[in-house]
Amino acid sequence: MTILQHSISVLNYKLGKEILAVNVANVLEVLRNEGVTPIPRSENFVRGIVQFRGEIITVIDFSEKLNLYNNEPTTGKVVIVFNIETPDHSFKVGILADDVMAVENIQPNDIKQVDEITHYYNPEYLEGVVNINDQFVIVLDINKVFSHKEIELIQSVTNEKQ
Amino acid sequence: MIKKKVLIVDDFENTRWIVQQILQKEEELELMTAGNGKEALQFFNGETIDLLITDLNMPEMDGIELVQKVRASDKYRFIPIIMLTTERNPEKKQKALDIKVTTWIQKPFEQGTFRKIVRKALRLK
Amino acid sequence: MDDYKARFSGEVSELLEGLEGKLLQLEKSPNDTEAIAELFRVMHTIKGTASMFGFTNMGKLTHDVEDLFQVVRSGEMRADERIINISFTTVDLLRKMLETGDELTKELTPKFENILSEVKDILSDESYSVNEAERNEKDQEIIKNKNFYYVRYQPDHDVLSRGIDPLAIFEEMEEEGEFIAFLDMDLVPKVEDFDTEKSFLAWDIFCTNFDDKETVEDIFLFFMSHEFSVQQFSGKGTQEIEKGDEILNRLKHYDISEEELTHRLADLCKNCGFQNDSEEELIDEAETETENPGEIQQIETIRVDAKRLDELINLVSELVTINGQLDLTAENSKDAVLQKQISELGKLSKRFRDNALNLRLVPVDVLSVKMQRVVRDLSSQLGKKIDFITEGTGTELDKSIINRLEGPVLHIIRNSIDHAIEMPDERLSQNKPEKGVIRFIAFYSGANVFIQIQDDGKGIDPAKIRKKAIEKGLIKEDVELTDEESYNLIFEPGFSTAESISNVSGRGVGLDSVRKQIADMRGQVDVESEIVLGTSFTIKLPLTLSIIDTLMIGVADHVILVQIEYIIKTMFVEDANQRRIKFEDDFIPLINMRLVLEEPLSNSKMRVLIIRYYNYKYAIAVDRIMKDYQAVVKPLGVYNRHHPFFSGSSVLGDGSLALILDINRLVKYQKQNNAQNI
Repeated sequence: MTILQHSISVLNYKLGKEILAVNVANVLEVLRNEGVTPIPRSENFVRGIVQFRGEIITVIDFSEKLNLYNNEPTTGKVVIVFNIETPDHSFKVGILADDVMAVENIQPNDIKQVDEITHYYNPEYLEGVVNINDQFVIVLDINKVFSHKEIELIQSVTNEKQ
Repeated sequence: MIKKKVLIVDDFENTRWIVQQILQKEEELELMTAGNGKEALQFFNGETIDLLITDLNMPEMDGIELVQKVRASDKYRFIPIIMLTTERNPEKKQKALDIKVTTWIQKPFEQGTFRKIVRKALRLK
Repeated sequence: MDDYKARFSGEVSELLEGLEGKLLQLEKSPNDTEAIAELFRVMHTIKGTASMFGFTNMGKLTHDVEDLFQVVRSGEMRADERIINISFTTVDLLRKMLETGDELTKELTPKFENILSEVKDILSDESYSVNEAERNEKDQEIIKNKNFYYVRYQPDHDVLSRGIDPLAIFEEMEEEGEFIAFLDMDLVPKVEDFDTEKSFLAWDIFCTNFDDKETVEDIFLFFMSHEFSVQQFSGKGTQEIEKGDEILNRLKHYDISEEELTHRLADLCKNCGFQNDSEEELIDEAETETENPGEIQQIETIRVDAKRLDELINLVSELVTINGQLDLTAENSKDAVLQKQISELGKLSKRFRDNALNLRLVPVDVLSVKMQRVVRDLSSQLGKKIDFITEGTGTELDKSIINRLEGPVLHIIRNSIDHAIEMPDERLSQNKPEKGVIRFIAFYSGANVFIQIQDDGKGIDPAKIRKKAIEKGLIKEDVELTDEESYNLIFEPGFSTAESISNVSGRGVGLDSVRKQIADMRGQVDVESEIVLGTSFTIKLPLTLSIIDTLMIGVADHVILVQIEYIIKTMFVEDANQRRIKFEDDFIPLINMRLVLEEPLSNSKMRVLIIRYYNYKYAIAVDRIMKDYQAVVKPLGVYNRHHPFFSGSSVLGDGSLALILDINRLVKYQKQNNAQNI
C-alpha cells in the first residue's frame, strides 16, 4: 500500500553521460544553442552570455560548476533557461545541456538518498537520485545550486582579483 | 493620458448604447462593450480592464457568474465592479452583495449620479 | 496592514524631506511667513496621517511640535535657534520612528521625552503662556457655530474583494473638509489568523467644515449602512458630546480627554480659516511670479514606479535593436521605397528612445536639502561659519546617477568643511571674510553634466601631498610630479591629508572610494587647488547610463566596445609585445588585448587606441578597428558583475552580442598584473 503524495514534475536532461532532473517550475524555456558569446577571464564554469527576451543572461556549464570531473564534456547543443528564486536573489541563468529528454512525474518517496555519490556532489543542492525507466537520474534543487552564500563567494573572489 | 478601460456588459444593445453615451463625455475613459458574460471574459484575457459595469440578468452567463469568474483570477481579485439591476427583489440584491461587487445601481438611473459613481469607483477626481 | 504601513512610510518620508528643506529656508530668513505656514501645514498633515494609520507616538510628537509652530505662525514668537533645532531633532526622530514602526525603543525614548519637555518649556515661557481656562475659552469661542460630525467607519472584512480601497475615503475627506481620524486596531486578529486579503481596520473620525451631513455620507457611497454611521453635533460646547455616550466611550478608548478633543477640533477650525488665507497668498504669489519670469515654475507631475519606466526603456531599446536588424534586411533587398520607410522608422524609434530616457531625468536639486543639512550640522559642530551656495540645480541627470551621486558629493562637502574651511579667527587673521563659502555648481557640457564643489578654504599644498605620499610609500622619493599629478595623489587608496584623524570625514573611506564610485557611473573626478584661495572638485558625468558612444573593435573573435570619449587617437604599432611605446614625447604603457584576453600573440602589425585616463595615457593594441557604434548598455548577468575589465554588454544590429570594455577597470587590472610580473 502506498501513501498518496503530491508528485513533482521534473525535466530530465542529458549532460555528458549523466542524466539530471530539475523541477519544471524553474524552467523558463529550452533554447537551441545558436552561439554563446564567451567572456574571457571569467569563472571557469561560465561559458559566456546570450540574449534571452531582451535580457542578457549568463550561460553555465554544470560539468564544471558541479565538479562532475569524470563526466564527458558537453556538446552544449541546448541551453536551458532557468529562473532562480531564492530569498536573496532572483535572476535568470542558462545551463548547457546535450539534450532535453522528457518531463516526468516523480513521487518524493522515490527519491533515494545515495551516500556514495555525495562525495563529489555538494549534498546541499543534491536532492537524491531516482530511477526512471531503469535510468539513474540525479535530482537537483536548482535554487540551492545558486545559493546566496555561493554567489557572494564568487563575487568576493573576483573582487580580490581586481 | 493613459485612459481607464471600462467594460460594459449588458444583453440589451440599447442599454449598452445608453451607458456608452453617458460615459462618452468622460475623457479619461476608454469604453468597451460585451453582450453577455462569456463575451466579457474574452476581454479579461486580453487587455487590462480597470472597471467592470455589468447587468445582473443575462442569457448564456449572468452577472453573478461573471463576477465570480472575474474575482477568481489573480489579476482581478480587487477590480471595482458596478452591478446594474432592475431587480427589486431584496433577496437577489443581497445575493449580488454576497458575490462582492463594489456597488450596484438601480435601473433606471440618473445620468449625473451614474457618472459620479463611475468616477468614484475609478478614483478619478 | 503592512501594505498600509508602507504607504504611510512612503508618504511621510517625502513630507519630512520637504519639511527639512523649509527648515533650512526658515533658518536663513526667520521671518519667512511662507516657510512658517508650510512648516505648520506639513506638521499638521503628518499628525493627521499618523493617527489615521495608528502611529500614536508620532501623532503625539507632531501634535506638540505643531503647537509650537502655531505660536510662531500667530507672530507671538520668533522662529529662533532653539525652535529650529528642536524641529530638526524632531525630523530626525520621526525618521527613526518610521523605521521602528512608531515604536519607542530604548534609544528613542529619551529623545522623544526631551523634545516634548522642551516644547512644553518654550510654550510655558511666560510671554506666550496661555492658561488652561483661557485656552478652553478660546477653543469654545472658535468652535461655536460650527458643525461637527462623528463618523464610526468599520468596513467589512471583505471590503478589498469588493474592489474598494478602504483608505480611499480619506482622500475624499481631505478634499471636502477637515478631519481627525483614530485607527481602531481592536478588530485586527492575532498573527496566525491574519489574512492579507482582508481588512480588519476601523476608524473613529471627527470632522468639520463639510457642507452638510449629506456630503459626509456621500463619501461612503460604496459602503453599506452597517459599515458606517454619521452623527452630527454642533460646536456650542462639548456638552453635546457628553450626551453621546458612544462617542465618549470611543474617546476613552484612545486615551483622549474631552478637552483635548475640543482643543484639537478648535485647531481644525483654525486650520480651515488658515487654508483660505493661504489660498489668497497663493494668488499673490502667482501674480508676482509672472513678474519674475526667472523663477522656477511649478510643473504638473505624475508619479510613476521606476520599475515601469525601466521596463519601458528596455522595450524601446529592443525596438531600436530590431530596427537595426530591419535596416540590414532592407539594405539587402534593394527596395528603395522599403529602405526609405525603414530609415524613417529608425529615426522615429531613436527619438522615441531618447524621449523615454528623458523620463528618467531628475534635477540635481533633489540633493540640495541633504547637502544643506550636512553643511549646517557639521559647521555648527565644528564651530565654523559657512555659506552654502548652489547654482544650476535645475540641471538634470538620470535618476540612478543622482542616487549614486549622493554619497560622493556629500563626502567631498564633508571634506571641505572639515579640512578646507578654516576656523573664523584663522580666516580673519588671513584677511579672509569670517564666513567661508562652499559652492555647488552644476551645468551641462555636450553629452555630459559637470558638477563642481568649490571652497574658499586653505587650499591643498602640493609639496605636503608629495611628502605624505612618499611617507606612505605611494611614490618614490625621486619622482618628479607636476602640481596636477600631486593633487591626483589624494585619490589614491590609503591617502589622507588630515593631520589628525577627525571623526567627521575620517570614516575609514577616503577619496579613493569617491573616485571609484564616480568611475562606476562612467564619470571622472578631478581636483584643482590654490594655496590660501581654495579648492575645486570637478565631477564629470554622462547624462545617462543607458546609452554610450563607442568604437567597435575586434580582437581574435571577440567584438568589443570602447567608450569613444577616452580615445584620443588611433595608430599602428609594428611590435605589440613591448611594454611601452612612444607617443608624442612620452613612452606610454602598452596593453595588448590579445594578452589580456588570453589569445595567442601575433607578430604582425596591430592597431592601437591611445586612451587618456585622467592624467595618464595608455596604448591599447587590438586586431581591428571596425566602426563607431551607439550602444544600449545591458548588464553582464550573474557571475560577471565584477568582471575585471568588462562592465556591460550590448546587442548589435544582427542580434549578436558585444562586450563593453571598462577603461577604469582595465587600467587597474593592468597595474596589478604588472606588479605581479615584476
